[in-house]
This record gives sequence, C-alpha cells and structure tokens, in this order.
Amino acid sequence: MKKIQLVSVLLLFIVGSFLLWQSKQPIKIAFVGELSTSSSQLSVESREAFSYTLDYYNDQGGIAGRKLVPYIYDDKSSNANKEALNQQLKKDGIHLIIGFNISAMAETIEYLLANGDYLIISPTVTTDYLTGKDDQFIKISAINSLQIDKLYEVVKLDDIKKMVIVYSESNKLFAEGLVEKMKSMLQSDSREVVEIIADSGGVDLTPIQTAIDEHQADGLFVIMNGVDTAKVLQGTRISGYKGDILTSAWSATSDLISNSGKNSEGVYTLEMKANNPDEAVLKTLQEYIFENTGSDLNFSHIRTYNATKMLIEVLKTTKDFSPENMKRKIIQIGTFQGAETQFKVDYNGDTLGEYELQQIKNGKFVKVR
Amino acid sequence: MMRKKTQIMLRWDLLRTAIINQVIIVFVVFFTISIMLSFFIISEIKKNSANLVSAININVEEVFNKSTKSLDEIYHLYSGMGFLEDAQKKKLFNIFKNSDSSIEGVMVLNRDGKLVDGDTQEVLLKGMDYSFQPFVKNISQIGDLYWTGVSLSQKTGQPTAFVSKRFENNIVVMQLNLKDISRFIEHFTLSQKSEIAITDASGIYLINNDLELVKSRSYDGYIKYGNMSGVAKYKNNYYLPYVSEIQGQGWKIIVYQSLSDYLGPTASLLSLILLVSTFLIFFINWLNFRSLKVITQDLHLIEEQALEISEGNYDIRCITSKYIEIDMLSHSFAILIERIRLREEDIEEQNLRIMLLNEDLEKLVDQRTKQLLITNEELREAYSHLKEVQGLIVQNEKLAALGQMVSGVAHEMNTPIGNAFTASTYIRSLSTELASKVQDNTIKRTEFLESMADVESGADIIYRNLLIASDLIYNFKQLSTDHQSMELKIFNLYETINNIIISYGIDFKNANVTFELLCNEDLEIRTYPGAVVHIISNLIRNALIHGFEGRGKGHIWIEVFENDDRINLLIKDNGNGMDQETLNQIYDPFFTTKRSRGGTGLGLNIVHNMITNILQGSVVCESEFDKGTTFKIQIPKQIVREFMDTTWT
Repeated sequence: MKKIQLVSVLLLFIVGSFLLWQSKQPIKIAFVGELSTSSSQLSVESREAFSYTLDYYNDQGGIAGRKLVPYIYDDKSSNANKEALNQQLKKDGIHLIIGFNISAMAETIEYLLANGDYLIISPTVTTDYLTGKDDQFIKISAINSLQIDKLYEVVKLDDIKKMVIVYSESNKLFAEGLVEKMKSMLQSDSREVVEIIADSGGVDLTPIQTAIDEHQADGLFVIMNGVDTAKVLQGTRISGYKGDILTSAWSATSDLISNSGKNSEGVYTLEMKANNPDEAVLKTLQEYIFENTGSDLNFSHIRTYNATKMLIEVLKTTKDFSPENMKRKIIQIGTFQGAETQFKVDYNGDTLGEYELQQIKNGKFVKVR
Repeated sequence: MMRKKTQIMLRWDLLRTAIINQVIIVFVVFFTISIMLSFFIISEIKKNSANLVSAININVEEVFNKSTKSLDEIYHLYSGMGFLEDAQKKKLFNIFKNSDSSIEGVMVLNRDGKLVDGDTQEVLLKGMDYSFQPFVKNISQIGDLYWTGVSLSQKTGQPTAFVSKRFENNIVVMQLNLKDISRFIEHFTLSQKSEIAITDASGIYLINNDLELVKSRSYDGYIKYGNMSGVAKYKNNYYLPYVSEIQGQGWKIIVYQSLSDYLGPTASLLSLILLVSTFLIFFINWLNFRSLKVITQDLHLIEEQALEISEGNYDIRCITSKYIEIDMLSHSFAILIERIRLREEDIEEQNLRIMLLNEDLEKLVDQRTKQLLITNEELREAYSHLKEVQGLIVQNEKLAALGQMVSGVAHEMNTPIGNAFTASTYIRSLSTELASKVQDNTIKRTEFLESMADVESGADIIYRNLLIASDLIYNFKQLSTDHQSMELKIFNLYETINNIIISYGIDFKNANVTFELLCNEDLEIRTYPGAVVHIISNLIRNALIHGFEGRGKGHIWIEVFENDDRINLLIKDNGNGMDQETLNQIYDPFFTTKRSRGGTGLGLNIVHNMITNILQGSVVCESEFDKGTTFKIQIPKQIVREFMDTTWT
C-alpha cells in the first residue's frame, strides 16, 4: 500500500514537473527577411523593429511568464532556398513567422503555407497575388493597387503627360501590379507611358536617361528598392531631369535618402495612412531605432512593429498556438492598434487601409496628402 | 544466537564505513580539484583572450594606419591628376585599388559631398550627392577620419565599410572589403568552435568568423544587451567572452573562447582521476577485507569457545593470533574461564549449605505455624470475650446515665412533692383542729373563715407543686423514651437539649455551674434523638465531673449553628482543660483519669463512635490546660442512610 502511495506521489511529481516545465517553455517566433543582399536595408530595418518588440514584451514578463525567443532567418531574397528554409524552420520547431519583406518571396511564402504548418505575418509584402486568399498569411500593409490610386493624384495634379516607369525585375510580383495599373490609368487618360526594366545590384542609368530624353518625360515612376531608387534619382537629377519623380512604398527606407542626398528632395513616395497613432510607442520606437542604427523611423519599422505586436496580442488571448487557431483569433479580433494607426484585418487576413502621399523635404519623409 | 534485524556483521560494517569514508574523501578532493581547476581554466582563458585581443588590436591598428595612409596617398594621387583625362584618372585609381585586395572602391568628393572622381566613373554618376551619407556628415574638420558601419557592396554583395578623410578641398572615401580585412583573424582562431569578432560601437558585426552574421548586419547579443560578465551561449555551445574596446573608434573586439575546448580535456583528466581513485578504493578495501577476515575468524573461534563453556566444558586452550588485541582478548578469556570455573565450585558449595539451611528452616516454619494457629485461636476467643465485655460496658454506661438521670429527676421531684406534702399535712392538722372546734362549737365565725382561707392557700400550694411535679414527670418520661429510642425521626433540637439541661439542674446547682444555651428554638432535624441525648448528656456529665474539679464554679455553653445542610454543635466549658497528652487519648477506649473513682474510660469512645457512625458526623476536641475544653460536633441535618448496627440500641 505504501509502495503504491509512493509511486503515485512520484508520478504526480513527475507529471506536475513536466507540466510546469512545459508551461514555462519559451515561445519561438521567427523573423524571415532578406538580410544579406545588397538591397537588404528593408529587412534589416524590419528586423530591428521585430527585436525591439520582442524585447519590449519580454521586459513586461512575456506571455504568462513565457519568454518570447526570436529566431532570425535570411531568405537571401531567393526562392531557391525555400526547401532549406522550411527544413530549418521545422528543425527549430517554428510555427509563427513575422516576415518576408518583398513580394518577390511569394513563391516561398506559398510553399511554406502549403501544409498549414506556419502562420506568416508579413509587415511589408503587398502583392495582389497573395491577396484575397483564405490561407494562413496575414498582410499588414494595404494591397498594391491602392498605392497607384494615391500616386495618380500627383499625376493629375501636376498634369504629367509623359511618364517613364522604371521597375526592378527582382521583385516582379510586386512591381508588375503597380506598373499595369499605372499604365492602365495613364493610358485611359491619354497620357504617354514608357516602361523600363532595370536589374537590381547594377542599375544601368543610360537607358533610363535616354528614355527620359527621347520622350521628353515630365514624370518618372521608380519601383525599386531604396538603394537602387536612390541611384536612379541621382543619375536623372544630375542629368538635368526636373520633372516629378514618384516611388513606391517599397523604396521609402533610410537608404533612399542617405544614398541620394539632396537629389532626393521633392520625390514623392507612399506610406499607409495614419489613424489614431500611439504617440508614446512611436516615440519609444523612434528612440530605439535611432540609438541602435542612427537612422529615422520609417514604414518598415512601423509595419513590423504592428505585425509583431498583433501576433503577441493574439498569443495573450489563447493557449492554442497552432497556426490555424492563431489565424482564426486574428480574424475574430479584427481590429488592432498599431504604432501609427488602427488597422483592420479582413476574413482573408488582408489589411484594409489607405495610403497617404509623402514627399522628401530636407532629408525627411513629410506627409503631403 | 538470534540476531536482531539491525545487526550486521562486524567485517561488513567496518568495510562499509571504510568505503564511505574513502568515497567522501575522494568526493571532497575531486570537488576541490574541480573547483580549483575551473578557476584556473577561467583565469587562463581570460589571460589567453587578453593576449589574443592585444594581438588583434595591433592588427586592427595596422588596418587603420594602412587605411589612413591609403587615403593620404589617394589624395596625393588625385592632387596630381589635374591635367589627366577621366579615363586615365580611372585607370590610375584602379591601379591603386588593385594594389590592395581589401579596397573595393575609391571616391573623391568635393567639400559638399558630391562625387568628383573615382575608380568607376560612369558619366552619369559624376556629381552624385553623398552629403547625407555618414562618411560625409561625420567629418567636418580637415584631417577628420571616419569609419562607417557595415553595408553591402552593390557590386559584390560582400560586407563593406567606408572610411573617409577630409582634406582641404576634398573628401576621400574608400570602400573596404571587410572580408579581406578580417583575414588576419584567421591566424588567431584557437579552435573550430572559438570565435573572434569585431563590432562597431552599437554591436553590429564588422568582422566575424561567420561572414553571414556580418552580411546580415547582425548584432552581437552579448554587447547589445550589455551583459559583460558570465558565460555566453551560441548555437548550443558555451563561450567565455572577453571584450576590449579599440581606442578612438568605438569598435569592440570580442573573443569567444569555447568552454568545451577546455572543459573537454579537463573532464577527461578528472574522469581518469576518478577512475584511478575508484580502482584504488576497490584495491585498498580488498586488502582491508582480507585483514578483517582474519580478525573475524579469530573472533569466531572465541565465540565457539564461549559456546563450549556455556555447555560446561572448561578444558579449553586459548587461541593465538597475530593481532595483539585478539591475543589479549583470548588471554583475558582464559582468565575468565578459570574464574568462572572457581566460582561455579564455590556456588556448588554454597548451594549445599543453603539446602541444609532450608531443611532447618522448614522445620522451624512448621513449629512457628503451629504456634501461630494456637495464638490465633486464643486471639479469636479473646476477641469474642472482648465483644461480650464491650456489650456489658455499654449496658453499664447506659445504666449509669439512666441512674444519673433518675437521681436528677428525683431531686427535682423532691421539692414540689415535699411542698405538697407539707401543705397537705398543714391542711390535715388545720382541718382536724377545725373539725374539733366545730364539733365543740367553740369556733368563731371569723376564726373559721380565716382557717378556710389557710386551707384554700394550702390547697393552692399543693396544686401548684403537683403541677410542677407533673411537668417534670412528663419531661422525664419524654427524655427517657427518646433516650431509649434509636428510631430515626424528626425532632426539635432546642427542646431536646433544654430537657437534658433540666435533667441536670441539681448537678449544676451542686457544682455551682451556670449554663447557657444558644439555639434556634424552631430548629428541627432528622436524625437519631437517642444518640443526640446520649452524646450531649455524656459531654455535660464529663464537664461536671472533670471540668470544674477544685474550681468551685464554672460555666457551660451549648451553641448550635446551621450551616447549609449541616449542624455545628459546640459544647464548651471554662474548666480545667486538658494537657496535650490527655487530649490525644480521650477517644481511646478504656482511657480514663478517674479509674480509681469508677470511671470505665469508654464514655468519649462511645460518644466518638456514635457521632461518626450513627449520626454520620465528625467531632473535634480543642482544649487548653486551665482554660477549658470545647467539643466541635458537626452532623447532617437530614440523615439519609439509616444506621443498621443494633449494638447501640
């Protein structure tokens, strides 16, 4: 009898210890981004905000005492690594991912989503290709087509007659949607348009300048990352181009300004429309980013903060961290308070929102309309 | 012999104790060595790391010096190019760049940060504005030198850093390949697991064995989170970090020495020590076991001898052992055997004597028993006789009391009857004289009337004295009836005591003793009135006989108090009192100071027995010589348990 009691107590102790151990297990959250390519600034900034947010919540005690542990992965901006990435994520026991910063990674995103093993929340991917699908992919940035609606206001305001569109093939999925819509709108307004594809990492300025000169263009729309856009800006401005320059939200990183100097003055770019900002968070985030990188806060930081905060807030509401349940919870909650805005997520996990136009003035992004 | 469960063999116990002690010693020594070794290893690692960091620092300074020198050389080169074509300038820059593999690009900017020359001068790039770049923004004075953090080359995708220097009219910028610069750390790598890294002030890797960390502009967590002590963990390995800051740049050199590189061999060494120690413990205890076996064999022989002795065999030879202690034990054992043998002989002799004494004793006991039987019989007879005598004495006492009472009553009766007799005699002589005178007709009317008045007066005296006598007889009858009665009944205590006092009236008068009774006249109690009368009478009589002898006068108080369900009765006199010796014996049967005058010595004994047995109360006597005696009696108001002994009736 005594032996049975002893064994029972021992078993209870073991089970209790296991449950206690499990209840204090850290929660793994992955960040996946383009970290080691020449156009990695967007993901590097995104990673900064991701680290900040996890640190912030860990300082608050984590989720019910469980620490949030960051796992950082480099997608090298190449879909060729998707299998290796999947294997590594599985090996590390990851199910929750913040990441993928460019739409060009849609193939990898689709591959990872295929088996329902992951919940992916992307801060900056906006491609229409991944929009309107009932999958476990959540987009924090509003869809692509809305960017053109906003940029077209400049076209109409300044009455741009001839537009040269330069875009990067490396992020074709992102760029194509924008290009097609811009072309369509320009053409429907009987405005002239020329499109030029430029490779990332070695932008050849000659054909761009030639196109501007030949068509006497008064508008230039660049759909490239910040560094490449800066080079185009520098080249065209040095060559004497005086017309409007429009860029996508993708290029609105610190790289754009630091690499183009005063030649970036007056350039139009986009950011999501702010609504009910959390000034205290914005200030703290701004200070953190400046202290750690010396740069200003930009959309990549903010979007990633929003994505990570959203995930953590949902983690607080449930004990079932399965990707499927997490997606369901996100849809149920629907509205989230971000750093700069309150945003809504629809049934498919797409963020509904508007863009606002901003212009670079005195080396800073300034809201215009 | 039965062994207890907790008992174990001496051999095993000694062996077990020895093993435990040895294991404790080995553990303590092993633990101490481990701690000391750990401190030593950590100290050595730190020393090693410090030396390594010093060496790296020298190399880094060389890189800085070399870069500074290169920037100066570029500026001089550029200064002398004024007359050359752009293509020639580019060629010269390229020659310069190719002279050092770590140089990835060269730019000469004007004061405002716009590109004026460089190694790759596309026409359209000339005039590019770098004024917002940190390598321009952060050098405002001539001679200022600035190193940027990591950026990735647009051409090669490799991690690069920019170094710039402001000259009088220009800013010279070099883009340096960090991978090439970092080659020198390969020479310092201690093991595959150990890591050497250089970070900028904010902790972003500039140089690292793992180039991916540099390319992804990762932070060094150890520096970022400011934890400058303890052990760092990276990719499941533990490292002891050592950090040093490079003067002037804010860069940090950090050496991660893999603990497993040191702990592995240390653990092997400690394992070997442990193995050897274990073997030694086994070997030493095997030797111990052999020695203990010899000792226990000798002890076993002694044990067998003891068993033989217990069976009465004293013809045993002592064993000899190589151990002095065992030998001494055996020798002592032999002495013990001899002493036991002698003692046994002595005991046998004593036993024989005891047997003889027992026989004598038995005879004596028989004689004594017979005598005791006879004595018992005599005692039984004496007791029986005593009981008879006791009955007689009690009866005598009763008679004596009765006699006393009758004498008192007779005395009381004497006066009224005497008076009545005198009056009647007077009336008779008067009536005879009157009759004669009437017959002779010699009497006068006045004389007749006077004579009739005398007759009436005499008759009145007779009437009153007979009435007194009648009352006395009634009381006596009443007293006599209760005196003889041992019936339990309710009666008036005051009246009973008062009657006793009256019965003693002549005795009080003769002895010149006054009397005082303090009692509630309505007090009724349920007890044996005969016993009460006997007790009070006896105590009064004792006072009269003994208390006032030779005093001429005295006083007796009888006081009755109610105390809940009990009665306190005090009979007190102010007579001679008693000394302590007498007081101690007053209740003893046959104790008397007046035996010569017919005292039996049973009066107070009977009183005591009646109070305690019949009345179920208690009595205390207090007396002081020449001051008086007080009997304090306490009895229940209501007797519940009826007294069954008839001896006293």
